[in-house]
Amino acid sequence: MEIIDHFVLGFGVALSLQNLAYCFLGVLLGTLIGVLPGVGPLVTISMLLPITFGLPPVSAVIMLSGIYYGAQYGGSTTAILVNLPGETSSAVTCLDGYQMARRGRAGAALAIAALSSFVAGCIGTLLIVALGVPLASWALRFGAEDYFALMVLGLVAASVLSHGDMVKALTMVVVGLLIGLVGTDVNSGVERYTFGLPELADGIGFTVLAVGMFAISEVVLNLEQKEAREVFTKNVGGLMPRWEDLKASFLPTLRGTAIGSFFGILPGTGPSISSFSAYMLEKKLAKDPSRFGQGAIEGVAAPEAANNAAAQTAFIPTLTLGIPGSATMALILGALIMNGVQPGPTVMARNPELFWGVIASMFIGNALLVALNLPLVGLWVRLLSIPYRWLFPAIVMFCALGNYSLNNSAIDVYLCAAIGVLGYVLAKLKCPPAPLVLGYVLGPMMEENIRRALLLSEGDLSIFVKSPISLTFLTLSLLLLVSMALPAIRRGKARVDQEEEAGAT
Amino acid sequence: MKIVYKALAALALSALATTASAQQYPEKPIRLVIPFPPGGGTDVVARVIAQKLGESTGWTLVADNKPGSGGSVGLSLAGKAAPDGYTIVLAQNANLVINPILGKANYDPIKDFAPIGLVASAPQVLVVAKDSPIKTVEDLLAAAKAKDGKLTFASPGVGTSSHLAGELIQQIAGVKFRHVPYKGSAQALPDLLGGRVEIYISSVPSAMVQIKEGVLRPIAVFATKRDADLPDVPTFEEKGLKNSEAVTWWGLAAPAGVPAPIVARINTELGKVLKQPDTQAKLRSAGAEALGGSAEEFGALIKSDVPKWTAVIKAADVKVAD
Amino acid sequence: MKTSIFKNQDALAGLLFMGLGALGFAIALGYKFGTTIDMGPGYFPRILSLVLIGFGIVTFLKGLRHCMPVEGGWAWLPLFLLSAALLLFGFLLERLGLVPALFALFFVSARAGHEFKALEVLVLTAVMSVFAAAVFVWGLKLPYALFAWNF
Repeated sequence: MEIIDHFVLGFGVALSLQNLAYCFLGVLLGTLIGVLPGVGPLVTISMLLPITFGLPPVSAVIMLSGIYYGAQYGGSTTAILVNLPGETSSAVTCLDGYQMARRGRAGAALAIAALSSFVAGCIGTLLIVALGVPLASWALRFGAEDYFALMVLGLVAASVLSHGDMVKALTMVVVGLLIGLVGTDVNSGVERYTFGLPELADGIGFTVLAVGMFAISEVVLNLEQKEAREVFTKNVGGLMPRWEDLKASFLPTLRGTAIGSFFGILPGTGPSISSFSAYMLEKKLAKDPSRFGQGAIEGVAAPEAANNAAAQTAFIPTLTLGIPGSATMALILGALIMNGVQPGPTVMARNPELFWGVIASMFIGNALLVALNLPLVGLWVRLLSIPYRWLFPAIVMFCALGNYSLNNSAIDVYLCAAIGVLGYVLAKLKCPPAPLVLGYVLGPMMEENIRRALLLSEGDLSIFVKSPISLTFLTLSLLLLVSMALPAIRRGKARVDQEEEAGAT
Repeated sequence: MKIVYKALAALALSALATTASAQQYPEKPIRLVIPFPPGGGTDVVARVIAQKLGESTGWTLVADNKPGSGGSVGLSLAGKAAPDGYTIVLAQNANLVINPILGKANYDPIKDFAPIGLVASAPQVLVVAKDSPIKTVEDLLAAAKAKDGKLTFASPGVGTSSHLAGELIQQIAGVKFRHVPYKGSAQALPDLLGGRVEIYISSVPSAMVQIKEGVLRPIAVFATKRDADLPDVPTFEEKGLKNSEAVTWWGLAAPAGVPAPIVARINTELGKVLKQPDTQAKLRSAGAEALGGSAEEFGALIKSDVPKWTAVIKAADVKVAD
Repeated sequence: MKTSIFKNQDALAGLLFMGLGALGFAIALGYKFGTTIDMGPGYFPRILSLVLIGFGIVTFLKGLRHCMPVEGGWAWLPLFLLSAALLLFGFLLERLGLVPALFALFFVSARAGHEFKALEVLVLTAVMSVFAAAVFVWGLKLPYALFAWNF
């Protein structure tokens, strides 16, 4: 078995004392910066890049990639504890993770997040090894029309996110789509909704939106009560998940991993789409969807698995094609090149020691992350016993500093305040924030790709059904729509009957 | 409470007391504004220069990333800073020269900035996928004519240096491509490799990996001489397409009004640093070629670039605002 | 059975959506519309704005038919204080430095709580300032001055 030889080689490299230490340092740093909102792997890796010149290439890449996937672990922590997403991908984790924390189950939520991340990280790494090259060339077959159809499916599925009022959820998607349009239009270069501010030319940052919509508005909601009342229940359940939690999380973790791996390979789609998709799938499959948003453990396990799987499989196009899917991946690619490694389809044959060493370090790193994060759960949960009057100004501080550090610009902090106001008003009017954030994520890609598809096809609309990938997604969207419309029509009829009866009496 | 305020006021005043003078320049850290986020090409060039200048002179240069709007945010901020020599910016032709022409910036490249010195440059390169039938510049021009304006040309965005290089070559060669803009290279390269677009123009450093690996084939570079990293790739000039130079250059600039002795001082130190083999090697690894020269030469380059790109943008009718 | 429109959850939401949609549409009138085959930069914004206005009307009418009052009071004061804290922070960070900016942030935002004890907030400010300086300025090497004077 060739692959066993490779793994022996890889673990031989990764288990050396030095590389083990760099791996640990990387995942530790990753976890820490993951916890801080706004500050992400991008700024950390670029800061550490010059330092890595003095290291052997393998150690350098092991440490930098540890920061990258370690950040995905840390991102869920503040999302669960105080509804403040630490990384872009953990916004979805706020939905049920934070509700679990309010019900005294922060420990279980944090532990499940770590465990499902671990499972997903390992499976994602295996995928890089087993199917890296074929998957990368498969991803090349995705054209603009296919991306568009995929976004349509995402939007149709968004209605699943609704809590009762479907119209409001769909409206929030539209608001999100509009917010996503702020900035420079890719196809024409025209700046839209920027009010002449150059700071808005690149759009409203995801962190700005997510922090304003989730964290700031939540703090205000908590301060609404006239009398002092603790936000978190005093009776904290066990720190660790129960057996039922593990059982309930098992399949969602696997499904989340599958979805995350899929999106990780597609360049440019980003981890937030994968965690949203995993969440929506779980809610659609659940026997009792109403538990979601009320602290359903599947709502933590699936998106956390998805964003970690996506983080791992994002290495596939980077390593095998030299095409980075995100800015952070571009940095890691840069680090590889500066360390004398030429990525590409033949990277495994040319630099076996580095390739297999880094792969092996990912398994070790994921194990280290679990070992690091599980004991931390107790510490994090204790943070919640801090009186809220101390906790909330600190939350505001993290929002302010995190947003400022995105572009070293005060405009992002001002914008976050404005979005916080909007988020609070919408929350009071029972308009859910999640569909808005999803619309914001999908909108620009949807517009960009439909226009590019039509430009490339010279205005021929039939490309959307001629491409088998696009056709599949569009058919799925249609089926989903029908499956949602049928019960709604039936229910609507029943309500009309009821009203008529009520009117008759 | 009063004590706290007094302490704050005292600290603030001590900061105020340090005023600049050319003789003892610099008396405090110099802020180097980088108009792009950490990790990109401009950031790498800036950090190499900051580190090397610091090592050779003992100055402290603080890197300050102010990204946004293709560099307009950082440039506009630096242009408005106090002209005391303690705020300088690493400008690029794309943001210093081109953004104002496109109406994407509110500063004037000549009136609002004092050029200090040219730092480095990297040419643009036209590439195709490895299995493309286009192999030479002649093939490219023949294909463009045969397809009659339908040859698809991908760029990393409207108004980027790569897009304008493409417009320039169309105007010089008298052909027409169909421009397909992308948001950076993340989706453009997969479309190129998947055969959905036919040609792509990018700066040499950002296409180097794929060229070395053989997944992309370089056709020609937009420069007056061949690139050191791509010695086998011809220039468009060689192929008879004159005045087709389109490079990305980086240069240090200060807000207009900065005292001439300070400009001269930084230019001298910058010149020394750029001659060091280690600086050149570091810039080389980022795909950029170290340059240098006087502040006047840099100023002249800016002055000649403005009409050149204004003409290209006008002729191609590139608009970013309705 | 008459609830003021200003307490009617759906009616207010509907009005908000219509307002946002109208604003979005008005601004988008400045962008070229194009056609479905050759969409201009104004195509998506205008269509989406119209859809938003439409959804707004539906929500508004639904609110008039089945009135659901807004739950709980509006926390205008905390909302104002927290926004002010963020605005002050952004304004002061670039002018007076990190520590004064955090000072303002903590003192203004803490007012939004149910209890405000100056000494407690002072200690909190001190602890968090040290933490922020350690992590962001020394750890992550972000170029923020602890104290400054830029006006």
